[in-house]
Amino acid sequence: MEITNVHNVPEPLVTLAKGQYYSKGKSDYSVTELMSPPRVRRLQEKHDAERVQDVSQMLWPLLGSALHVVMERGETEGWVSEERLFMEVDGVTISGAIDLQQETPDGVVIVDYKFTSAWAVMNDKIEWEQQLNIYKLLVERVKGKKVIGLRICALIRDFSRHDAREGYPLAPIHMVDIPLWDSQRTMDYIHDRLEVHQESKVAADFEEQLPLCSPEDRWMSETIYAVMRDGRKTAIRVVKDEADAKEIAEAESAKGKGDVYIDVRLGEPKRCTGDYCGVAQWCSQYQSEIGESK
Amino acid sequence: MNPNELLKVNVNDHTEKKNGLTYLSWAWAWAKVLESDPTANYEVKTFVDNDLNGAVVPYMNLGNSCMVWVTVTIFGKPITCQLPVLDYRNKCIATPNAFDINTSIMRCLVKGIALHGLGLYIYAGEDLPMDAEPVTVKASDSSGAVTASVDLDTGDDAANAKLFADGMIEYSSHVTDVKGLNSYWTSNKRQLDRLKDKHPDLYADVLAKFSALKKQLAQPKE
Repeated sequence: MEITNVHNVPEPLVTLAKGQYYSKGKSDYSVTELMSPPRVRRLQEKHDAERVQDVSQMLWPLLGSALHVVMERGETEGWVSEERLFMEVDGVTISGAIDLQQETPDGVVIVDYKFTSAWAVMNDKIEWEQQLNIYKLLVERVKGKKVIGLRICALIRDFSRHDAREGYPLAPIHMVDIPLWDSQRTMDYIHDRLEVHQESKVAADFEEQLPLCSPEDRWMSETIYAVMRDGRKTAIRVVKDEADAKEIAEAESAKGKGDVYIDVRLGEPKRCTGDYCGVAQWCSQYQSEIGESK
Repeated sequence: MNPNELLKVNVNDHTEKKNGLTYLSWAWAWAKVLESDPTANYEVKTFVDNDLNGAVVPYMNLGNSCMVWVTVTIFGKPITCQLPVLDYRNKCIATPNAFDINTSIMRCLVKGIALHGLGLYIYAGEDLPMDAEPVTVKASDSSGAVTASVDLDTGDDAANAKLFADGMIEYSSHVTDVKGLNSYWTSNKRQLDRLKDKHPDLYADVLAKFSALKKQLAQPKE
């Protein structure tokens, strides 16, 4: 991928953007790579030379990289920072770079930094659970140490001290506890991911259709149903269930205040529409959907 | 202990599995050899490397890969064996470092000891561990065998590529399902990518064979 510098930002930022501070080491898959959708990975590989991104659009990844560089310098007794561990599964080497490990008398607590949104910490993120539980397995298998806790240190980029919603984080740095899996569950998950990646690599080499991204892979938002009345700009009610919407519409209609109808607002694959994967323009799955909707 | 008795020693408690292959501890194996024959010795062959201004090195530089040689003498009988310098996936390393070379020499020593009988049962044929994943191991071993017999004679990359391609096709007959085919293909991905780049005709042959096989395996069984 070519990194451009249209706005002439300082060269060290460009160097950082080019990923010189981050490497998956001598492994076949990094943990995050293993978790990523195979279709996205194969398209990124195929179109690597054609992809272009300007450094000015990479603020959050840059800050993420910068944090890793800073963390490597901060030595604190009882804490291990920025350690990359390697493990073989079915002849494939997997590596994970663990941001922080707190050594306690009872075992290790793994901490991972995330620049994220308040919304993310208010909702369960299964990918955090998957990522940190692979780290847990790495620590247990490679270092032979018991892991007693998994935590996300969320650095909330859109924090507002005036937001009083239930579950809203109290501070811009917020710790999230992640459920622990047993090693069998983690191994099952790794095997599943290896299989889909192998399948997609072969499909790419054989010029076959790549496995499709799932709604979760595509960050698909939910389809919602807005009960509307003629002459009114805003919805009377917005619900997630079509049957509920019909019931509300019937009740509103019976009031005789005007024509009532349901506006179906289809879910949107936000990763595709925002091109967060970086390959939306080459993706037949997404492009065919756009074609159909046109 | 004589050579026949060495053949019968159970070495299972002193092995380690890596990447689906079984490795015998060189320290334990050598201790066992000395226990059997205190006069036993081994010699690492050295070569002049013209790429390093004529430096004497403990490996044979074959251009795109390297080979180490060890002669193990037990009960007065010297046996020489060779081993390509391999990475953790059992693939040849073009520019090995000191650690890679040392690892290969010690593995070659174990192989030489096995040729005298100790731990020989964990090998099948030339150097095929019996209990590794069948498909991956055969592919890996075919590359090892290729390097051993072809590079030395010719240093010919094209001949190596042909043998690798033939090996891929030959061992594809062991694949029984699509999952196995995917695993076999991706286990050899780096070499296949190199083949595609350097020898596209051979790659096309392998690809055609595997594409057809995949279609066949994907058919529902009656």
